[in-house]
Order: sequence, then structure tokens, then C-alpha cells
Amino acid sequence: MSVLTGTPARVDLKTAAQRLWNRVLYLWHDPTQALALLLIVLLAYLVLAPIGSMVLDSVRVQARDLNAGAAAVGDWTMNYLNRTLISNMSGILLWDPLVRTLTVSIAVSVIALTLGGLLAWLVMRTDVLGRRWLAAALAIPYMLPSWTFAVAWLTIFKNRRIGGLPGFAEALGFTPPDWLAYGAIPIIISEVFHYFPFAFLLFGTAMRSLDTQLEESARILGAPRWTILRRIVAPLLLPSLMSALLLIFSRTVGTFGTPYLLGAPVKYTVLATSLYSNFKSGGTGVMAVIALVMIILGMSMVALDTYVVRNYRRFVTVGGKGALRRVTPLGRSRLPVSLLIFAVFFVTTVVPIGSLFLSTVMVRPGIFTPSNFTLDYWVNGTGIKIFSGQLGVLQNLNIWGAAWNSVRIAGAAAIMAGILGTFIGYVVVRLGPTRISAFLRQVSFLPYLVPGIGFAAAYLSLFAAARGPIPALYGTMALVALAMSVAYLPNAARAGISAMMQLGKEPEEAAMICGAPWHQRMVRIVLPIQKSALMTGILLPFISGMKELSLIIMLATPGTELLTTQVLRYNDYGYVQLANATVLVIAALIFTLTVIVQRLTGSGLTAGLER
Amino acid sequence: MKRALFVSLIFIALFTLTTACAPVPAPSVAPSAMPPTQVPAPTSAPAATAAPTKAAAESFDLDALIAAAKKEGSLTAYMTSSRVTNAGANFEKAYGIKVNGTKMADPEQTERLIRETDSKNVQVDVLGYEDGATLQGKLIPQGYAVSWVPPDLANVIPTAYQNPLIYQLQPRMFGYNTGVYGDKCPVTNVWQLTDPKWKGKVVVRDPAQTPANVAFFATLVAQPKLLEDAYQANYGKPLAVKEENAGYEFIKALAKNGPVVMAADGDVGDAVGAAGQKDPPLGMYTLTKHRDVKDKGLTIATCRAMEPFMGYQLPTYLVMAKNAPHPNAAKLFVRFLLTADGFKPWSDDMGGFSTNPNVPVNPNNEGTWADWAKKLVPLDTKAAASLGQKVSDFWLSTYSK
Repeated sequence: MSVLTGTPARVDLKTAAQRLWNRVLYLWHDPTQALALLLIVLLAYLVLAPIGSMVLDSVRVQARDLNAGAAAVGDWTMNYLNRTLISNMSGILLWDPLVRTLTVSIAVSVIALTLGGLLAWLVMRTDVLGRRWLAAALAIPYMLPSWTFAVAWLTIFKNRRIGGLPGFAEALGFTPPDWLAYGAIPIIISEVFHYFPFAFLLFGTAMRSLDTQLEESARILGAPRWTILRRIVAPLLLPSLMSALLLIFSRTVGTFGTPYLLGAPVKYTVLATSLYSNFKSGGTGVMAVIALVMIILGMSMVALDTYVVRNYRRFVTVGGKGALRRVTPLGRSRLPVSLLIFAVFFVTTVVPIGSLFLSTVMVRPGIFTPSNFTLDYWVNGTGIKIFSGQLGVLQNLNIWGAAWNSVRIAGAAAIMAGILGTFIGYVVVRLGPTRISAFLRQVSFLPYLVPGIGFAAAYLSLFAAARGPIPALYGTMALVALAMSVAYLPNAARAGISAMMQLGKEPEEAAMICGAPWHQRMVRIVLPIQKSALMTGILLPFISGMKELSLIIMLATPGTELLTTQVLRYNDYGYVQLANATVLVIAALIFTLTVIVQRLTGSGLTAGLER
Repeated sequence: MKRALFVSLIFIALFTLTTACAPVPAPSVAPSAMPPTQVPAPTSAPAATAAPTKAAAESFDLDALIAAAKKEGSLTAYMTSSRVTNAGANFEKAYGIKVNGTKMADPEQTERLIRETDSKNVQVDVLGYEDGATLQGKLIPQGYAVSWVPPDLANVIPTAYQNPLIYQLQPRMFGYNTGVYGDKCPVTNVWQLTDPKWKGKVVVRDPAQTPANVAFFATLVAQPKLLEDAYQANYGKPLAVKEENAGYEFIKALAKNGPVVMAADGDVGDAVGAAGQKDPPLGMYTLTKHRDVKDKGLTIATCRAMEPFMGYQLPTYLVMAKNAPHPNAAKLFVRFLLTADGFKPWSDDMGGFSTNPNVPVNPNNEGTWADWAKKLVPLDTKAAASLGQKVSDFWLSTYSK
């Protein structure tokens, strides 16, 4: 630089040092950019690298490929792309499943958004009965494994097509037709009932920060209801709406269990089924192509989100001053509306949990005689032994050990994800509409679009050997926690971004003027205001982590039992009652811990709704 | 400034990416310690007999192996069966060597083994594995896995089960509901499964997700005579072959008859055997599911009279990782699983047979393995490896229509 400018070196050195010092001071006071750099490097390695390895998998000969012939593993090949996209198998492998996946995902997104949004408004903004209670209860369906509703559906609506015990409807004399028992309709309904809590929670959080004074001002100024909704409420809720849409759409694209259980009897194959079949049968190249199609599908959603949100200015709803939240009285419709909400709760929560529980207290399914009921599968003391000497789930120390492992790992992963998500939210919003912020925003969402098996396999390769400063984490539980925190980072990042979007710069600027350094502003101002969003960003990954299986099977240290692997083991032995009881233990643990966190921090999943 | 920062970051990101995804060198195809792969001839099940092998001639010092294994202290096993946990606990009791055993399905085992080996960070020692085509077509020839037979048992385990080593055999066979059809299976010839009477009334594990079922199809395609003769015997006229051969004809006829596919043997067993059904299906599942006769009240029995076969022999291989970190402990564990003590977790429950004829058979197993083998097709893994995708595509395209 001195050569270029031609100034004496001594002076230059001084100004350079001065500049550097200024830079350091600036970074000290506002380390947003340094943080951005750190996050970009982190996400590049933890998110982009695994996806990159999948891209390579789709064009290089796979080690498991029995049809590779003379080609060596790792050679470039177009076979997988050809087979999946244009061969005469492409219809079966990709295109038909793609159409079905789009049908299901779009239907589920639209219905779940409508249902969740409506419920959030009713519970949050009206005087329906039992608001506080409903606020917590309506999140429960998401705490159950997603297939529980499909199982419950089959218990009720199955017909003779799949044999076995008669369904309830059949037993009562009504034989459900195939379209009601299997295929698109039951898949869509089951998934709506599992995923609507996303919309409910996200809308709930947004409505909480929505100042009703804004609406009232508009009303005083004479704006009609529709205008208020269109010009004030809708724009303010738009980021949450898009977030919910993205989360629900991407999740349904990747869901395997429900579409398989309800779709297989009528050959209704979706992308996730096709992907899983290819994994099972050794077609890892084709699997990579399908995974990429799923990622592209999700990315088009991300693009839509970016486009829509860009066209709206950001609306700061959390100001430095207090906001007012008024409740709309429902008047005469209060009771019927309340009953309707309780009906939703009954169908989405009581029915699946009830049918699961029923299966854990009956020796033989479907026989309703008193002697067929027992609590042995839960607690059997030292008396009657079940299943060649198995202990009841509540007495089994292995279960409690596994529960502790599950909580530890999912907890560590969730806290990592929550913190990372908050920082991403902070940087994305503070940097404004820059490419860095777009990069962070989009890349932090990508893990959501990557099918679990593919993601886990890529992580195995990434961390099996030491690479530069990164140690070989494979074989430690730390890797499971890390992979989990990245897999569920999208939840946390979304919560962080949308909350941060509503937080104005003023509170922080005020502190800056008073001379508070960055870390103090973070700890004393930003985090406390964002506590509720941060808690959502921790709890959602925690819930998902407790239910996770594919990451664990691929990455966990052999011999470490978790609750989900315990379920797998019980099912393998044919101990269905014990397996289902363990599923209920998982759900109960998630629910209890969520409530405890909410009580302790005065915030959490549904904090806004509890006031 | 921001632009410059952004550009440099992209470079960093790309750099990280390229290094992270640098081509992994293919595992060197080292000359295997084992003799060339031999698939037992897919004839109608030779009643496996013991035969002396050259391995027996080698001197084998069990005590030295035990001592070396104890020095290694522990081992890791992935097995398709959950019983790996109990077997591991028994092994630890016997030798004081800890087994980190995990139930894992074939595809996950394959991924882990391949990626561990490629990254030179092998953690697994022993694999209990069912997908013979991948094992013999890829994992062993490409140097990921090796098969080792304890020399002192080489004269005991029938040679047909030694290369690669199989420690357990299970029948996966057709069964029917005794509550409706009484003590006689309503189907006496496999071709009857393709009759209109059984349209939509046959339940099988999803071939798209069950490599063994694809191997079964490949085996049928590789020996079409079996099905040609069966057709003649059943209908009294020769089969008109329009597809490549009688094997494909059978797969097509079966697929067109709309069987229902399920994810697990347990689901198939329940579908077939649940008591009080009106019009129950037939199904193909593992014999293990018959333990549910007591626990779940199933009314179910095997289709013994079915010709020319009632199902297939499902082997579980027992191999070691080529670069196992605990090779001696692994060998000792392999040997242990071939003995009565080691096999106990499996023989305590019905449905599985040890390949060691000296290991006691569960009394509920409906006879010895020799009895079963006569009625079950042995899987032709060579055919499965070479024809697998073709056969599976053929199934998928006829079934999906």
C-alpha cells in the first residue's frame, strides 16, 4: 500500500495501525460482520459440504452399486441421472412420486396453515374458553412421532385390503372404501393433524408481538375491517406465514412413515418412499438424485419466501415501549367455537394417544374383555412376567438410562441450535438486505430440505477422518448432537430471524449511546427481549431431536441406547406393547420438559399465548 | 467492503467444500484371504452335510485367541438382529470382553462399513448381515469385509455355509390363517397364488425395500425350469412363455394379481394370522413370527404342502470388517455365536437355526433345518448380484401398472 500511495512508511504505518485499531474498536462495538464471517464458514462446512457430497454421489459410481460393471468407485457417471430422470424407470422412480408429493405437500400446507392460523387467532385474540390450557395442548400433536396418527387412522378406517384385525369402522358394520382407508386423503389428513402446530405456534408468537393499537388506530381513522386485515395485520404476519409455509411444506416433502403406512396398500408412492426404497436396495446414486430433487423442490419454496418477504418492508413490532393486546369477545358464538376447538384437540391428540395407550394395556389387540386388560407392560412388579421376563417400561432401568441419553443429546443439540439460530437471526437482520444475509438465511434453512438418511451418511464421511483443524468426531456422541443441531437449525434460525425482524434497532442503539459494549447489549437487551423466540428455537429442535432415529442409527456410538433405538428393539422382538409404551414415554418426556422450561423461563413455545 | 468480504467468503466456502468432498480413494482391491466366492448351487436344497476342509488342517490355538482377544478388551458388532445385545452380554460374561452391539439393518451397516473403511477410521469389528448379493458382490471382493471360519469348527459347519460364513438360517415361507382354512393350506402350488381367487389376497414384504425378496425373484429367474414344471403340474398344460423365461412369467403373474406389500415380517404375520378375520390373505414371512401365536393370539400355520417350494432360505452372514480394530476379539465373538452358548438368544426364541448342527434347535421350530431346507429355495446370491436390478425393475414396472 505504501508503494502505491508513495507516502513515507513511518507515517503510513501509524495510520495503518490507527486504522486497524479503529477497525478492532468498531468490531468490538459492533461485531456483526465478524460474526457473519464466522457463521458463513460454519454453515459452509456443516451444511453446504454435506449437500455438495450428495451432488457428487449423484454423478459418481457408488460403492454399493452392483451394476457398475467395470467402472471403479468414484468414476464419473451419468447412469444415475439417466436412470432417475429419463429412463423408462423414471416414471416409477421419480415423476409419478413427484406429482403425488406435490399434491400431498401443497394440500397439507394450505390446510395446516388455515387450521393453525385460525386456531392461533382464536386462542390468542378471542375469549374462547380455556385459552391458557389450549395454548399448551394444541402443540402436543407435534410432540408425537409423525406416524402415530397414521397408525390410529388404520386402527379405525382400515378395510380387508390389508388383512389383519378388523378396523373399528369395520367392526361397527361400516366398511370404509379404499379411498378413505388408504392413499392421498388419509395421508393429507394425518399430516395436517401432525404439522398444524407449526402454524399455530409461529402465528401465535407473531400475534403476541402484534400491537393491537395499530389496528385500533386504523379503526379510529375509519378503515374498514377488510382494509385493516389486508394493510396492517397481513403484512405484519407475513414473515410468520411464510416461515410456517416453508416449515410445513418441507417437512411433508421429507416425511416417510405416514405416506408409506397409508400409501403402500394402494401403491401410492411419494418421493420419500422412493428415496427410502433406493437406500434399502443399494441404489445410493439414484437416492442422491431423488434427494437433490427434494432439495430443489424445497429451495423453490425458499425462493418464493425470499421474493414475497422482500416485497414487504420489515415491520418493527417490538418497540421499546409496551404494546397493547386486546381480546375480541366472541359473544354468542363463544361456546360453539370453544367446543369446535376442543373437538380439534380431541381428534388430533386424544385419539392417537388414546389408541396408542389402549394398545399398551391389552394383551391381545382388539379383544375387549376385562381379562385381556393389564398394566403389566407398564409396571409388572416381580409377579407375572411378560415376554419371557421383560420388565414393565416404567420399572425398566434401561429405559430410564436411555431416556437420560436421549434428553442429554437432544438437549445439547437443541441448545446449540438455539444459540446458533439466534445469532443467525441477529446477523441476518442487522446486515439488512445484503447478499451475506441472504446467504445465511437460505443456507441455514437447507438442512430442512435434506433427507435425514442422506444427511447422516454425508456427516459420517465428513467427520470419520480428521480434516484440518476439525477432529474425527465419528464414534462420539458429540457428532450425533452436532448433526442433530444442524438438522434442526432451520427451526431455530427461522424463529431467530422472524423474531429479530420485529425487533427495532432503537433499544440497542440507546444502549450503545450509553456505552454498553456488544456482549452486554446482547446479554442484557437483545436476548431478554428475544427470550421467547430463543426458547422456541431451542424447544422445537429438542422435540424433533427426541424423536430422531435415522441420524442416530447412522452416527451413534454402538451400544448407546436411546429411547428411539429402544422402540426399534422392542418392535424387532415383537414386543409391540412395550414399544408403544416407550413412544408414550418419549411424548410424555417432551411434554413435561417443555412445560418445565416454559414455567422456569416464563416463556417458551406458547409463551405469548399464556398471558 | 461488504462485497469484498462476500467474495472472499465464497472462496472460503468453496475451498472448504472442495476439500471436504475430495475424492475418496477407492479401497484397494487387495487379494482376499479367502478362496474365490462360491455360491451354493441353487438346486433344491442339499441337506447340508459336514465335509472336511483344508482349514481344519491348520493348527488352531483357541487359548491363544482368547488371550489375544482379552488383550483387545472390547469389540463392536452391527447385526440385523436385536439379539446382538443379549449375545454380547453373554459373551462378556464368558470372556470378560465387552461387546458394543447395535441392531442395524443392512443398508445402514453397508453405509457405515464403507464410509468407515474409506476414511480409515474403522470402528466396527463384526457384522451380522443378510444382504448376500451386496456382501458377495461388493463388500468382500472390494476389500471391505472378510469371512473367517473358526478352524476348529470347519469340520462341523457344512461347507455350503462357510463361504462366506453363515451363522443362522431362517425359513421365510408362506403361511395361512388356520381359523378360516383349517389345518390345510388352501394353496398347494405356487402358481395358485396368481389365480384370480387370490387377487389382492397375498401379502409379502415390499420387494422394493427387501433385498432378500429381490434375491428370491432373481433365483427364480435363474432357474426357470422349476416354475415351468410347477406350472405343468398345476394346470396340466405347458406354460406359454412370452417374457424372457418362466421366472419372469411368474413374477409378472404375481405382480398383476395385486399383492399387498408391507414393511416388516411382523406386519405380514399379523395380516395373515389375526384371529377372527373373514377373508384372510396368504403371506410370506419369517417363521419367527409364529411366536406371536401365543402373545397375540394368531391363528396361523405354514403352507407345508406348497409345491415346488413354500418360500426361501434366509441366511444371516457373519463377517468381519477387513480392517477390524479388534480382530482377535472379533474372531472369538464369531466363534462364540457358532456355539450353543452364543446362539442361545436366538435358539431361546423360535424361528432360527444355527448352521452348527450341534447347537440345539428350538422345539417349536417344526423340525430340523434339513426338513425345512427341502421345502425352501436356497437364495442364489450370484444371480441376485447380477440380475437384481433388472428383476427389481421388472417387478416394479409390472406391479405399479
